[in-house]
Order: sequence, then C-alpha cells, then structure tokens
Amino acid sequence: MASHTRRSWMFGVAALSACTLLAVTLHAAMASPGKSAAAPQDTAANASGKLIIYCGRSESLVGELIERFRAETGIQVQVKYGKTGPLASLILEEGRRSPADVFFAQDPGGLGLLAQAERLVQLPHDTLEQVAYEHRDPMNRWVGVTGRMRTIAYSPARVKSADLPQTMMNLTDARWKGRIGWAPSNASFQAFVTAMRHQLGEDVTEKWLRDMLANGVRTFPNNMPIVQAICDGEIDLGLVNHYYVERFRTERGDELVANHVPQGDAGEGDICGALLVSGVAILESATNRAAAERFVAFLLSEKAQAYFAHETFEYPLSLAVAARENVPALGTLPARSIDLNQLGDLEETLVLLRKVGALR
Amino acid sequence: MNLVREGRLRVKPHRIIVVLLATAVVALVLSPIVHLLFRTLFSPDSVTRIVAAPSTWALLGRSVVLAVLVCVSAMTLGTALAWLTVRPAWPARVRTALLVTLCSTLAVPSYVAAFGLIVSTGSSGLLSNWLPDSFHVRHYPLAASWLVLTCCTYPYVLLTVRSAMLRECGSMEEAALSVGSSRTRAFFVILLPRLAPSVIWGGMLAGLYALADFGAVSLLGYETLTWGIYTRYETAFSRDEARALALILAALALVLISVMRLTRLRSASLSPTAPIAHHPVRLGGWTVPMVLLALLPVMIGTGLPIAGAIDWLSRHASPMQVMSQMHEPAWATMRLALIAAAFVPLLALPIAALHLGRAGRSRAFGRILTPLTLIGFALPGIVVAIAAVGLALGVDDAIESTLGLPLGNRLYQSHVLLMLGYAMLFLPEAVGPLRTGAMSIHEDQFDAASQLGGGPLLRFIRIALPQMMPAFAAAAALVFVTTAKELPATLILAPPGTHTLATRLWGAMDEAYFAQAAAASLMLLGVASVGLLAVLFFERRGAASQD
Repeated sequence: MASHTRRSWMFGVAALSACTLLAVTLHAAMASPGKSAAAPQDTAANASGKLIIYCGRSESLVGELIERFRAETGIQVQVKYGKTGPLASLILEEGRRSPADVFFAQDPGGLGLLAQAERLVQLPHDTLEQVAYEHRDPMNRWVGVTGRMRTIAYSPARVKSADLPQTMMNLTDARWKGRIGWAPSNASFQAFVTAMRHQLGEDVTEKWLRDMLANGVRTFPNNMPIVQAICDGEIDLGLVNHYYVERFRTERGDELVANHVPQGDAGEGDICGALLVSGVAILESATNRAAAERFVAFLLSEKAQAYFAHETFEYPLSLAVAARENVPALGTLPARSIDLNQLGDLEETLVLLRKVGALR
Repeated sequence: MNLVREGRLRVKPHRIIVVLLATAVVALVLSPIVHLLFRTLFSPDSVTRIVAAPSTWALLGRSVVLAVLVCVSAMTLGTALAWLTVRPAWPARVRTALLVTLCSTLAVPSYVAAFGLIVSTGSSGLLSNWLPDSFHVRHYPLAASWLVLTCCTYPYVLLTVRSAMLRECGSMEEAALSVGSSRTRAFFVILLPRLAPSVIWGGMLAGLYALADFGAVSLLGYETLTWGIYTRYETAFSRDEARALALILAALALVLISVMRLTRLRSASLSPTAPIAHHPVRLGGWTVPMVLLALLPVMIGTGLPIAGAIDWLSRHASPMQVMSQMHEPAWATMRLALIAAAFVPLLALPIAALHLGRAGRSRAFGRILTPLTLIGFALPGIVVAIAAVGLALGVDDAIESTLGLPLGNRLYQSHVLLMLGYAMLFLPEAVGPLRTGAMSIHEDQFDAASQLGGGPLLRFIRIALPQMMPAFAAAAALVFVTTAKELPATLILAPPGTHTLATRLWGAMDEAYFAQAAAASLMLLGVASVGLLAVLFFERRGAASQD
C-alpha cells in the first residue's frame, strides 16, 4: 500500500513538473523565432530590429515574395497574416502601440479606413510615381500593388460562349434563374457594387440587386467556393475576380471553368472589367520606417511585379511591367478605374446590400 | 487530535484559496464579455439598430435550431461511441486505434469538413455516382450544417463520457444483470443517469461549438448569428454592430446553458464509488456491423476531406515538396498545442477542485462557477480575440502609467496572451472531464487521509491527482486538438511570425491553392493523432501506476 501510494504521488509530481518544464522551455524557445533563420544584418536600413508586416493577402500568394525580400535585403521580417478587414480593425484597436510597420491589404477598403483614422504616413514620391494616378491614394498615403479584374466565371461545358451575357444587366434574365453565384460579404464584390452605383446610379443598382435576388442568385462566403460550385455543377455562372479561374485551372489540371468579360452593349457601359487594386501603406506608428519604405519599393520593383504577373496571375500596377499573356488583356477592355477612396461610399454600398436583403 | 484540527465547523483556509482561484479563472473567461459590454455602452445606437432589425431575429432563430440539433445528435452519437470504445472486449491496440480514429474528426476544421462534403457530392466528386445530378448539399443548408457539425463535435461527448465511464463502477450494472435485467435496461437505468453530467457537458460543448462556428455554416450557406458577426468584421466598418450581435450571442449562450441545467437529471445524486472493473461485453457477430456503423461519421468528417486532399495532392507535380513546406508550421502547431494542453487543464484545476470531497459550500460555488466557463466557448474566436487585445493593451497601459516606465508591449504580442486567449475559448473542454474526475473520487479517502495527518495540499496531490489522471488526459487531448486547428484567435493574438497549420490551411484554401491546403490538412491530422496517442499512452501509465 505505502509503496504504491508513494509511486503514484511521485508520478503525479513528475508529470506536473515535466509539463511545467516543457511549457517553460518551449515558451522560451518560441520567444525568439527568428534566431533559426539568422540573416546577414543590413547596415543601412535595419537599425532597430525586425520589419513587421500585417498582411491581408494570403501566405500562399505572397509568402515566397516576402521571403525573397528577406533574402535580398537581409532585413529580418515578421508577418502577421489575416483578413484585411479584421487586420485593419486590429490596427485601430492597437492604436499607438501597434507593432505593425507595414499594412499590405487585399483591398483599398481597409487602407482607406486607416487613412481616415490618420494612421498612415505619406509615401515617398519616387515610389508613388511608378503607379498610375488612379491606382493610388490621392493624398499619397497608400499605393496600389496589383490589380484584379471582375469577371464572370462560367462552365464551358454547360454554357455556350454565344449564350454568355454581354452585360451584367442580362444576368437578371429568367434563363439564368438559380444558375448564378455571388459573394455579397466579399470586399471585391462590394467594390464592384460601389462602381455600379457610380456608373449606373442608385436606382438602377438597387433594382439590379433586387432582380438578382428574385432570380435565385446563390450566396457564397467568398470567391473560391463560387468557382468550386461551378466545377461541382451547382451553378453555371459566378461573379468573381479573374485570377481564381486561373488558379483552379492550374490546381486541377482541367478546364471546368473559364473567365468571361462582358463587352457591354453599344452606348451603355458595363461594370465588368473594373480593376480592383491591392495596396500597401506604412503606419504612422512604424518603428522601422526605412525598412518599411524599402519593402514598399520592393513590391513595386520589376522583379516583384513580374512575380505577381506570373505566379499569382494578377495585373502588375507598376507602369514598367506587363501582364501575363493568358489573363484577359487590360487595354482592350472597357475597364474603368473605381474611385475607392470615398469610404463613405463603401459604407453606403453596405447599407444598400442590407436594405435589399443581399446581406443580413 | 487530528479530528479536532480538521473540525467541520471551522472555516478551512484551503477551501477559501480554492474558491478564490476558481473565481479568478472564471473572471478571466468572462472578461471578453465585460469588455464587449463596456464597448457597446459607447455605441448604443448600433445596439438599437441591431435589435430593431428583423434579420437579427432570423439569425438568432437559425442559431438556436442548429445548436439544439447538434447538441442532441452529438450527445446520442458520442455516448453510444463511448460505450463502444470502453465496454466491449477489444484487444488493447484495436481499442486505441478505434478511439484515435473516432476522435480524428475533432482535428478537422469545420470549414474543411464542409468543403470535403461539398466537393465529394459535387458532379465530379467521390459520391456523385450515388447521387442524382440535381443534388447539391448547399440546397439543404440546415441539414448539411447539422451533419457536418455533428460529425465534428461528437468527440466532445465521446471523450468526456469515456473518461467518466472508465471511472464508473461496474458492480452496479453487474448487480442489475444478476437480478435479470437486460443489458439495455441496465444501461439506461443504472449507467446513463450516472453518466448524465458528462453527457450533458459534452452535449453543451457540441451545441455551443455549433453556435460559434463560422467555417461550416458560411460554406454551406446557413446564416447564423456568428455568420452575421464575421461578415461584419470582414468589412471593418460594422464593428459596433458586430459587438452588439456578439452580446446577443452571449445572452443566447447563457439561456441555453441555464436551460440545460434545468433539464439535468438527478445527476447531483451521483455518489462516488471506487471503480471496480466490469466484465467486458462480447459483441460476437455484431462486431463488424457495429464498427462499420461507428465509422460512418468518421467517413464524413475525416474520410471525405482526406480523400479530397489526396486527390488534390495527386494533381500537383511534386506533392512531396508541398508536404515539406508544411514541416515548419507543423512544429509550430505542435508546440502551441502542447503548451495549451498543459496550461488550460492546469487553469481548470481549481474549478474541478471545488467538486472534491464532501458536498459543502465549495461545491455550491462549483455549481455556479462551473457552467459560467462555458460562455467563452460559445463566442466566435474573433470576438474573444479582439476583446483580449483590448484587455491586454489596457493591462500594458496600466503597467506603463503606474510604473511610469515605457515598457512597450509586454502582455500584448506575447505567447502568454495567446495562451490566455486559448484558455478563454477552451477552458470548458478541460473543466468537464476534470470535474467528473473530481466528483468520482471517494470522499472517505480524504477523511482517512486527514485522520492520518495529511494536509490539504498533500491530500490533493496524493489522493486526488493520481485518480484524476484519466480525466487530465481527456482534458489535455481535447485542448490539444482544438488548439491545433484553432484559426481566428491564432491569427489575431499570435505574435507576428507565428504560422500554424491552421493559418496556412486557411490562407491556401481561400486562394484556391488546394495542394498546399491538402498538405496542411493532412499534417494537421497527423499532429492531432500524435497528440491523441501521446495522451492515451500517458493515461495508461497513469492508470498502471494506480494498480
């Protein structure tokens, strides 16, 4: 009796102390995650430690590029990935204590929110000038890095190319009843509706949204599941960004989906082909301003822009670099720049989407 | 002499310490809600806007329906499967394999399980041959969400009930059988009421998980309160509304928790007994059909996503290279989950200790404090995480202003905050098994020990802890696996540069990098299985040292 009570007692103490010891050592080990990847110290730019990037773009898209930046400059980088909206909320919550130096956003909505809250600094002129005026903040607080185009993804097996709608207005036609998918909670879709309101007016937009809902449009959380639903045969058309279709083709190795850009009716404009930008900004609370500016310049460098064109199928926004051949060409399209700097505008779009019941 | 010193009428200081510790832990779990309340005070118009909108009440109704359905089905399925893993005479290895397989669905994030179901029932999917062309799961959002979430959550019931069943005395069932009762009747009349606290606790976890889930419901198109909260956070304009919705969700959770407590069977009468080994049940010809039936939810929850993952990897030119990209996040995930699996049950210990020994005033505290730990579990990760950020920054500010020293970010951006965040979310996963473990310890053992002069701490360490080892193992297993797959709080609270399998998986899936997503989800399953196996090994050693 005595011996095995002692044994169990010793077991208990040993287990507890082992757990504590493990926790302490592992915590100590994790506290310095950068030490395994020691890089040569950069003398000029990196005086005060690591460059911290809050990244609203996926690690799968830009992880490799950021690694190239680290290798090239020797600047130590730490990235916090997340969705653009929550990251912008987080930076606002953090206030002056924000550890972030750079915010690389998927869409200008999050950047605009921070600009409005006066959390961003002006970017250097030589960096800004690499990008066309319409793809950057008029007050120079953020700059566009890449562009995505709004397209209609479709199933070539089930929709003949002759039948494809030539304007967005045709999507409310009864033949498409229950065959279309959209993602009203997605920032790209909201930007697209904002553009529509500008171009065609509030009333037309509201009617279009209501007609789409009446036509049984199916709701998805974002772009990827829309394209998957086309592959699965659930829907035949989807309102997405162009590069998802390219990604599906690469990943699946088949051609179950394709991109379609409506050319519009004569005289009447159309919203497809609108270019949506991802952008980057430097925070006012940045402790590592020099390294941050180098990172922004790097994103607009020829190498990085070519990476976006070839690896992520996006449109490079640097005036010096051309897009990949197999994405829909920009020049031939009725592409219109969307002024997304009017944030109140985006808010009104949300109000409209809620009013018609597209968002709940 | 000792009897006088340990007299019942005295206020025992160690009891007070335990109650204070438990209260502090519960205060930690409730702090996000206090923060939410405080923040919504500054934007009352968003609350009135949310309350006035009819769509809010539609979201609420759908949340309730889903939570109740998932709760009931997970309780039924989980209890049956717990019986299947404990009672029949399995060879030790088969039992382990069965348990790890049955629990594997817990390691699959709900959005992966939902996506697996969507793809496999799609026109080019695995199951398409057995389904009509016009069939699409997204046409049945409630049924599909219910199915996926039941498959993802029944292990909560399974693991909690299993650890209770292992502690349960076989002699009462044997007695029932010896007077001619059928095994079924003995199960329902004798065993089930004694297991009720565990079954209900596991069911609560399952139901509240469904309440807080975003991944599955968003992909399957079932719009719940949590869906409303996430879509509002996504645009960053509607944070006030998101907070108001989160408060409604917290209130709903409170109501559900109270209702569950009312429906409790007379489980408080559970009298602790020392476990006596039961005679194993022989399944005979039922073995194969029962195992196949038991594996059905695993097929849906784990099988379909694995099949999809293998398909995606096989389409990639160099699958091994993709897998090797995931080594680093796999180690990071392992480290975080290990620390959480040690830390969170440790925090739950004071609450479990309230249920030790003779029913007295501290057990009354336990009855109030224990269910309160469930609330954090019902809140979406993003809500808890953003509240934790605000609280941590407040603490750092307080340190700075009282000490007058600019310390920079201390609590914020530290792994400590991340662990506290996990504790806010996952504490009930540890409290459940530990509480059951504590309740089933025979109080006479304490009396005997105190008569022989053992102090309270020594009694706890020598008598309570060794007997609570299976419960500790179950708690650690649950926390390990759910931490490994946790996404929203990890994204927000983890210090920059921390990348786990869940964050890689989500980033890859959202942008349709399916091979990477497949590699990450397979790795995640691997990490979770290693964790479960380690815990089972630990549990067996603990049990062996008692024999």
